[in-house]
This record gives sequence, structure tokens and C-alpha cells, in this order.
Amino acid sequence: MRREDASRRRGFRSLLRLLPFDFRADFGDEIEAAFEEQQREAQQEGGARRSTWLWLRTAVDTVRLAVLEHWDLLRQDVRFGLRTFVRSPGFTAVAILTLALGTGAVTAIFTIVDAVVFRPLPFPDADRLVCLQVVRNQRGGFRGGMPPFSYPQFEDVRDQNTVLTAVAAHAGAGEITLSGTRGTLVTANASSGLFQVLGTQPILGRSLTPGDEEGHGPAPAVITHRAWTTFYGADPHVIGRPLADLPTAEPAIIVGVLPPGFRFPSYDGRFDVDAWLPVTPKVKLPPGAVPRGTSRWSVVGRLRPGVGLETANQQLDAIAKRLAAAYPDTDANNGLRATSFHEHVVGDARSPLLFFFGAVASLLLIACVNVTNLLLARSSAREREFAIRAALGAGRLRVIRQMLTETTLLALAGGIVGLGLAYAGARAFVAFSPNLPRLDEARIDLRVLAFSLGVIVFTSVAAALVPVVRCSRRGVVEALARASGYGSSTPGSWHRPANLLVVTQIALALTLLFAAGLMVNSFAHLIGADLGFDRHAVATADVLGSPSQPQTRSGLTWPAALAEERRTGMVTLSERQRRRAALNEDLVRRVAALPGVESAALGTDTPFPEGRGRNGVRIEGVLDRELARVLAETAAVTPGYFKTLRIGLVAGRLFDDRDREGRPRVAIVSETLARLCWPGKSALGQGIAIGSNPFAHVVGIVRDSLREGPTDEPSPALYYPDAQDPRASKLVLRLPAGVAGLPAGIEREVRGVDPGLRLGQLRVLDDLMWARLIGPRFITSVVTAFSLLALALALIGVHGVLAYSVARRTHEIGIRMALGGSHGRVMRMVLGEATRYALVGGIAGVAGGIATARVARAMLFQVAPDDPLTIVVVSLVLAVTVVLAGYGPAHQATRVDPMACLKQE
Amino acid sequence: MKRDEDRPATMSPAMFHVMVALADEDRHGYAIMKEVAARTDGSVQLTASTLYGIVKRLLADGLIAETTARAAQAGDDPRRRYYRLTPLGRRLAQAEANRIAQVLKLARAALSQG
Repeated sequence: MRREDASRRRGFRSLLRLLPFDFRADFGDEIEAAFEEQQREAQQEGGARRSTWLWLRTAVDTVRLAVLEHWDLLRQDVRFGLRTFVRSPGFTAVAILTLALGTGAVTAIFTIVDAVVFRPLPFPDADRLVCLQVVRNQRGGFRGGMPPFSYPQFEDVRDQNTVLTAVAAHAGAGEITLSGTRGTLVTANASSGLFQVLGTQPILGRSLTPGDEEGHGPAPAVITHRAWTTFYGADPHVIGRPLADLPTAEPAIIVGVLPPGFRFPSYDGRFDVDAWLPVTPKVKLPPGAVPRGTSRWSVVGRLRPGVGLETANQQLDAIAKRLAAAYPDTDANNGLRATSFHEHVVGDARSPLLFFFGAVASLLLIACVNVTNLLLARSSAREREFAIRAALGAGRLRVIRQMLTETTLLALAGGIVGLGLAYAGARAFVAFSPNLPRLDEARIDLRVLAFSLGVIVFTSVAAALVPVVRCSRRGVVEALARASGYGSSTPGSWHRPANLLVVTQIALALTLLFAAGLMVNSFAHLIGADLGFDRHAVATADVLGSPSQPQTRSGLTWPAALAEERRTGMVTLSERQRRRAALNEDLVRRVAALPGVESAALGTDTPFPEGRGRNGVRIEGVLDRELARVLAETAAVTPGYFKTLRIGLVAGRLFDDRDREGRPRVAIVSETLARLCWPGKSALGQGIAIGSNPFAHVVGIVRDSLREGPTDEPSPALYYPDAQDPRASKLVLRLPAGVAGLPAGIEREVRGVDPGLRLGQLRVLDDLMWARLIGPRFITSVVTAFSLLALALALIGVHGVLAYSVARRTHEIGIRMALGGSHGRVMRMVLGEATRYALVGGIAGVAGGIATARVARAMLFQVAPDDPLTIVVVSLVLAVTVVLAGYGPAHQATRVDPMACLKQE
Repeated sequence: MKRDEDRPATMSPAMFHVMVALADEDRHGYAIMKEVAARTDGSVQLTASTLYGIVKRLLADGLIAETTARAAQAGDDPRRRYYRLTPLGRRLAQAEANRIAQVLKLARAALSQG
């Protein structure tokens, strides 16, 4: 029995620990004594049962008492804290605003990062969606985008794999213009499994079926919800309606409407497909195309449950090997790879966003440091209060608790204001960053609120940490002595943590500033980069529609023309090609003659294209297998193309009027293609061909064009004269320098050539280039904005610490001045202190900046992470900032009245 | 720490019992608990935790005070402290007793009419 009593007492004693420290100090022993007596009596009167019952009742009451007591203390602390804040409104406002900025920025970026990077894509079991890629390890491999398959290659993968429950191919098809001002539908082709892969069911009608791929009758079209509401007025009877209402369009019938929110394959609003059409035999193999010769299909699949990416890739490797053996000409160097579709969508956005997140996290830290410093300065001023409280019996814990309550209150207020800022910030981010995927999904919801609460907790603990540790270490007697003015006022106890914090702050701000400096520098390089062509004062537009001339059946067909060419060795065109060539020549002549046009040309491709494809080339006298297949972008261009774009000629000649039908087939190659095909030899006079087409002889070598912009890699390019391969449909115009407007009358000239033709939107290359640079431009602006904000916060921090230091040392400064110290000396003393912070913080910051830049190297363009110019500029900015921050306090110090100080003494 | 603003507008029954238990004699905690149980025929049984929650409150409000006059009796637990009712406490307990009596009177009158 006795043992039981003892264990109950022990249990009760541990329960008492729930009570606040002060309460335990006051009544702990008494409660224990009373409980023991009560328990003894219960044991005597009612035995074990009564004693147990008493123990239970007391335990419950103790817990209840603990809750009430803690709540009571909290209320006291909050009331006390609020009173202190009201007494020092300046401190409170600065602290709340600083924390609001930090919390707001970090929450805003989290909102974006969460929506873009962390959340699953809006498809059922989205983590099982994979993107299949053709990996070409050899020369001329693809970079970026969703690397395309040829359709037979896709069919082989579809039929041979067992790791995917469904797999589908899709590719952009084109645009269909609707009547009047209704707009343009963007169409894409999809194999029948696409919606099965994505797990999407139409809300009206049906999806595409294998039967649709036979190509009988008008093509069935599945439209998106957006297209349904925008173009068809959300007509509930839209099923069965024709897709387009103009007779020129290919006939298609709407068979299904997709659910709202369906987005595929693009998530950044740049390529939103409105209608999905089946892959008919004509789409699979357009006239003149070589099977497995054209790679333009993107492939997505759904992993079988329980199958991981690694297993899938092992099987894909095996399939790739089989295909390489079966089709050595086309598939020899191809590997197959499955990657997560989520990764494919958000992969490029991840690193800039995480970088932003790091930047705002630094900002939050700087804000915390600022508040910590304010608290430290204030806690120094409140030493007397704390000392008196301690002398009156408030334990250290009580003081710590008070501090934590105060920082929590500040963090909470800052957090609430910060949420408002986060809302505005996230909206601004979405508005100004048009090409990040999934941005429209960003909103402040429970997840974001929970994150923001976490930030508030972190902030309150982080801001209170140093003052609390310092407070709790300080002895009561020392504090009272200091508070009464008998302690030393030299930089020391308060200064040490404050110094460290200010240096940390400068280092963090400088790291950000350095990163921003590198990005601005890198952006300047992007703008000034040599693209291999002159993008200034050039406009482009698509020539749309088809010639209205009657389709005659006379003349050569394409196969007959080809056969003729093989016999004669001279270019022979089909009737249709001949008409197109004449029409294109006429078009260029007319447009070039317009006033306000310096030169004009037509090409199948222009710089900054919507999409790009490559074809395998064959070289005369070299076996395909030896060549290891080179892929090149091909274009048909009119003779003025190189002059209009100012693409420099390296060797040989440009196209001219000789290069037409009835003459030998010629080509111009880019430097990279020349190097890949004829390493160490001259390309001039060599024979080159695409697929099974006849060989053309190289007459010229031109400079490489970075068609996608400065970050592009030189791509092998093969140019044909349009007169020998008439396909060009994109107009390129060079306008006289300094002319702002686009020439009038172009549209009239185009219609004048053929009433069936019209001109698409005229776009200026400079604008297209800017659109390509929107990502870097945005990243640069955001990081610059963050770094300036960080610098401003650091400036406030340095200013605060110096001002406080001067205030505390008034006495010392007065005596120094009384002893003959000049104003200049006092000023130097304060500015010297500022300079020391700057020096240490600056060195740490630049080192941090270089380390950060090394990690984020991929985001820099032609700028080294330790770029000396950036180091110099950033150091200058820091020097100016610190002098700015120090000037006020230094000036204040020189105004100390030595007489007043001596009198006080 | 006097907290006038926290003084209860109405006193809880347990608080009232504790004050009444100290009306005739200074007592330590365990004695208060026993006195309360005896006065209420065992219907109010305070636990040590509840009692000291109340004691802290009454001390803070100045309604009871720790007495130093009373010498510890032989064999007394040294952890014990004795409390007495302050004049303010007595007046407040008196007022509370009157209020209860008034409530009782009104209730009895109302009930006897039915």
C-alpha cells in the first residue's frame, strides 16, 4: 500500500509541473502537503478505492487549474504587451511593417511556388502521367520542348510496351479562321488514347475513338470547354454542328465537349488548343513525306499501377534497341525515355521559383533581424523594467514569456498585414509573369494560410531568440546596476549580438543584391547577343489562305515531276508547285516595291518560330550508317531572305534568279551543318538531301542563326531556293531604320496577287525577341526588386543600431568632446563603426552571392558567378548605403553638448 | 499584484465556502478543505488543486491574507501556511451571505405562492 501511495505522490508531483512556474513556486509545497493529508485520510476511511477516486479528481482539477492559470498569464502578458506597444508607436509601426513585408513576400512567393511546383496536375492520378521522349545522343539532338516522335515510332512504342496502361500522341495541327469576327480556333491532332491517358471524360458527346482514325467523311472534333463557351455560345446542342463555318476550311464535325479546367498540353497560356482532331492517314503521312522521316509527335502515357519510372525506362530501352535494329536508317541513334509529366510541365519553372523563394526567405530573415535588433535595443532600454520585475520575484521564464508574447503579437499583426500584401503580391506576380505554367491556379487558400501561420510562429521565435537568451543570462544585480546608470556604456553586452545581427543582415542583403547585379548584367548580355541575323526593324507575317485559281488537272503531278528530275538532273516542278513558285515570286516583287519596305522575302520559317522540326539529311557519297544521321532544320526561302535578315555569307554565294526550275538543284547550309556533314572539308559543291528527295548541291555557307533567341544553340540549317521547292508562306520585311509604323498597303498587295490569299498578323521581330526574353526579364526585375527591398531593410537596420549606439554613448561622446575631440573625429568614430559592419557584411555577402550564383549558374547568360564588374558595382552601392545609414546618427553625435554631459557628471 | 479589475462580480460557491471556513479561525489548506466538507455535510469536497486556485485568487484580491501571528503547532507540517480572512474579505463574505439569504427569501416566497 505504501508503495502505491508513494507512486501516487510522484504522479501528482509531475502533474503539478503543468502549472505555471510562479504558481508552483508560491503554492507547490502546500498543495502537495494538503493532498498528502487528504489522501492519508481517504485511505484510512475508504481504503484504496476512495484514495484512487480522490487522486483522479485532484488530477482533473490540476489540469483544469493549469489551463486557467496559463490563460490568465497569457491575458496579462498580452495586455502588458499591448500597453507597451501603445507607449512606443514608432517602434511598433516599424516592427509590424517590417514583418509584414517579410511575411507578405514569402507568402506571396509560396502561393506561386505551391500552385506551380508542388500541387499535382489536375488529372486523376496525375503522378502516373509520363512524357515520352526520343533521346538522340548523337549530333543534332533536340533541346527543350517535348521531343517529338515520328508517328510509326509512336505506334511501335504503343504496341510493344507493357508498362503503360495507355499511351497517346498529339501534335499541333493549325488554325481555323471562323467567319466574321468570331476569331481563330487552334487545332491539334491526337491519337484516340489521349483522353484515356489523361483520365478525362467529355461533358457532352464522346471523345475520339480508334474508328475516327480511318479518315472517312468529315473529321470528328472534340472541343474544349473554353472553345465551347467562347466560339459556340455554350450551345447545349453543339454536338453535330460543323467546327468551322467557312467553306475553305477542312470539314469537321463537333462530337464532344471537354470539361471545364481541362488544359493540355500547355499550361502557360501560350498554346491553348481549342479543338482536338483525330490522326487520319493523311495526317499520319502527308503527301510527299517519308515514313519515320518526320518527327513532330509528342507522346504522353499513363504508367501501369505499381510500375515505376525506372522499370518503364528499362523496357523503353529494350524497345529502342529493337527499333534501332529494325530501322537502322532512322532509329539507329535513338533512345527512348519516360519522364514525369509534372516534371515536364513545371521543370523549367522550378529553379527560378525556388530561387525567388530563397530570395524572399532571405528577405524574411532580414526582417526578423531588424525586429530582433529593435527588440534588443528596446530590451536594453527596458533593462530597468526587467530587473525590477526580476527583483519583485518574476522568474526568468516570466520575462522570456513576456518577450515571446510580445514578438508573437508583432508577428501576428505583421502576418495579418502581410497576408494582405501576399494577396496583392501574388496577383501582381501572376499579372506580370505571363509565361510560367499553371499560374492561373495560384490562390490564397488553407494551405497558404497554414504556411503563413508557420511563418508567423517562426518569425516570433526567431525575433525573440537573441533578446530572450540575453535576458535570461543576465543577472538581476548586474541589470539593476546597469539600469541605474552605474554600468558601463561601452559597446559590449548589447552590442555584441546586435553587431552580429547587423553584419548578418548586410551579408544577406548583399547576397541578394549581388545576385540581382549578375542578373541585370546577364540580361544586358541577352539583349546585346549576336543572333546571327539582325532582328531590328524586321517584321514578319504569315501568308494565309489558298490560291483561288482553279485546280487544274493538267501538267505534271508531284511523283511524275520527281521522276522527270531524276532522269534529267534538273529541277522539275509539278503544276501545283509551279503555280505556287510564280505566285510567291510575284508576291515578293510587289511587297518589296511598296514604299516603306527596304527589302522583302518569303521563307518557310522565320526567327522566333512557334515550333520547329528537324529532318534527317543524307549526304552524297556517304552511307547513312557511316554518317550517323545528322538532323537539320530545313527551309525554302526566296533569294532576298538572307539580305532581309542580314544573315552573313561565309563562303560561296547566296541564291539568285538562276536557282529555279530547269536548273540544277542547289542548297545553302549553315556553318554548323557544314561542319557536321563535312568535317575538315569544304561544303561547297557537295550533295545533300532530305529523305529520299534528290540531292542538291551546296552553293553557299551562311552564318548560324540563333532562331529562338540568345539562349538557343546554333542549329544545323539547310536552305533551299523557294523557286525550286516552293513552300514558303511567311513574309519577312525589312523596314527602313527609324520607321515606327508598318507599311500601308501590304494587305492590298497580297490580295492583288491572289484574292484567295490574306495576310496574318504582322509582327515585329524585336517584339518577338522581347516576348522570348520575358522569363529572364521577369526574373531579373523580381530579384532586383527583392534585393532593393532587402537593401532598404538593411539600411533601416544599420541606421537603427547606429542611432541606438549613439544614444547610449551620448555621455561618452560628450566627455570625448569636452576633452577636445573635434566634430570630425566624432563623425569618423560613428561612420567608422558603420564601415566595419559594411566591410565584414560586405565580404560575407559577396562570398554568399558568388556561392548562390554558382548554384544558379543556369540562370546566367555569358556572365561568370564571380564577375568582377558586378562585385565592384555592388560594393559601391553598399558603401553608399552604409554612409547614408550612418550619416544621420553621426550627425546626431556631433550635436552632443559637452557641457550638459559634464554637468550631469 | 492586485487586480481590482479582475475581482469577481459574483463569487463562486467554492470561494464563498473557503471564506466562510476562515470566518471563525485561521486555517491552513488541509484544514480549510476539512472545514468546508464538515460545514456542508460532505456535499462540497474541494481538491487541493481547486483550493489553491481559489486561495491564490483570494490572496490577490486581498480577501484573505497569510497569517504570520499564528505559531506552528507541534508536529505541524512545515510546508503548511495559515490564512485568515481580511476585513475586506469578511465584509464581502457578509454581503454575499446577505445576497444569498435575499435570493432564498424571494425564492421561498415565490414557491410558497404556487
